Amino acid sequence: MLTDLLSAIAKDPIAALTVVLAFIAVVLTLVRMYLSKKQKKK
Amino acid sequence: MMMKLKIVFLASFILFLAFFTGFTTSVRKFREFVIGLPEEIFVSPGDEVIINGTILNTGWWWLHDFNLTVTGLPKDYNYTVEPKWFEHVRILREWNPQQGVYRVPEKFSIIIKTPENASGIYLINVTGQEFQSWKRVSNSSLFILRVKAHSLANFTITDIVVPETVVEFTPFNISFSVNNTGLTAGQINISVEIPEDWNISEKTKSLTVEAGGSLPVEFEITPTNTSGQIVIFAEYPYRETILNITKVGPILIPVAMPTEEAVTDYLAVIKELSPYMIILSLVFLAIIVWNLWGIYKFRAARKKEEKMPKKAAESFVS
Repeated sequence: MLTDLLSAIAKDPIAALTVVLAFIAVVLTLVRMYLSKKQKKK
Repeated sequence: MMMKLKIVFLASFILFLAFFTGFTTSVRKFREFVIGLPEEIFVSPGDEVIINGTILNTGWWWLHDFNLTVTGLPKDYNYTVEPKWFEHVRILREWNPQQGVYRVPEKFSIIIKTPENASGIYLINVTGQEFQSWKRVSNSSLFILRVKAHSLANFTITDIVVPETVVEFTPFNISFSVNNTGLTAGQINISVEIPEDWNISEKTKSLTVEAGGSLPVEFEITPTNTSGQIVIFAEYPYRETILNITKVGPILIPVAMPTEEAVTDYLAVIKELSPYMIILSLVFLAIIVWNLWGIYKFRAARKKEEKMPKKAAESFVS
């Protein structure tokens, strides 16, 4: 199921780009949240 | 009067001449005949075979004191010709609407008893001769006698392997073992019956299996999207008969290739969502930029904080 979805995404460039951007956005959001928590503690 | 007689005489002479010339130059001879025999006879060692032959008198006259002789058989072969001698070979005629008047032949038969260990191919010559006329007219005819041992091979088909599920347009194999449980080696013809629109690597296979031996057989079948049944059909000679083996397999319903179909389904959905995907990408891009800006600001504030205590210390020293 998941493999099928991933292989379908891999076949469509726009979908692949969206997924990559979503991943980066999530990572950066987490980094930003972590940094803001750190600053509040100080 | 004399003139009329001359004309009648001349006409009679011409008629007589024409008849005599026709009679003497006729294709049909006074005495001639044809011996009719089958072209080829198959017999097994130790068996007795009866060969039916005919003598057709094709001449003008009957033949008398007619004798039949058979040559070409090995010495250890027993044979009899019935009847061996004819007092008359007559000219018999019959009539039917299809053929009109036709000549009917005299009949005879040759009974040959082959020895137990016999084998081979023989050219047998049957000669007929009449002994009444001074010409002693004779004629002969040939036939081939083939002595071949019967196959005592007996076959079974075991270990049939047919896949439980088959996928549309994807080849699959069926395999089985052909075992010869008979006393002699034998040949077997195997065919697989499949639904009309399915494809098979070979329609029939011909195998020779030694006595007590076994051979694996495999067929590659490509199904379509229609369901059907596989039937294994084997045919082999045993003594004078042809025996059959039929193995009916289960009804196979080809299934569609699952993964490919799912992928194509997902692809279709993705294609439909393509415009939304672009918007989503831009949103994610904005989030990324916003986050990067935020992270940059945090870093700048941290650097400021680090510089501030240094400056305070310097002012304290001075």
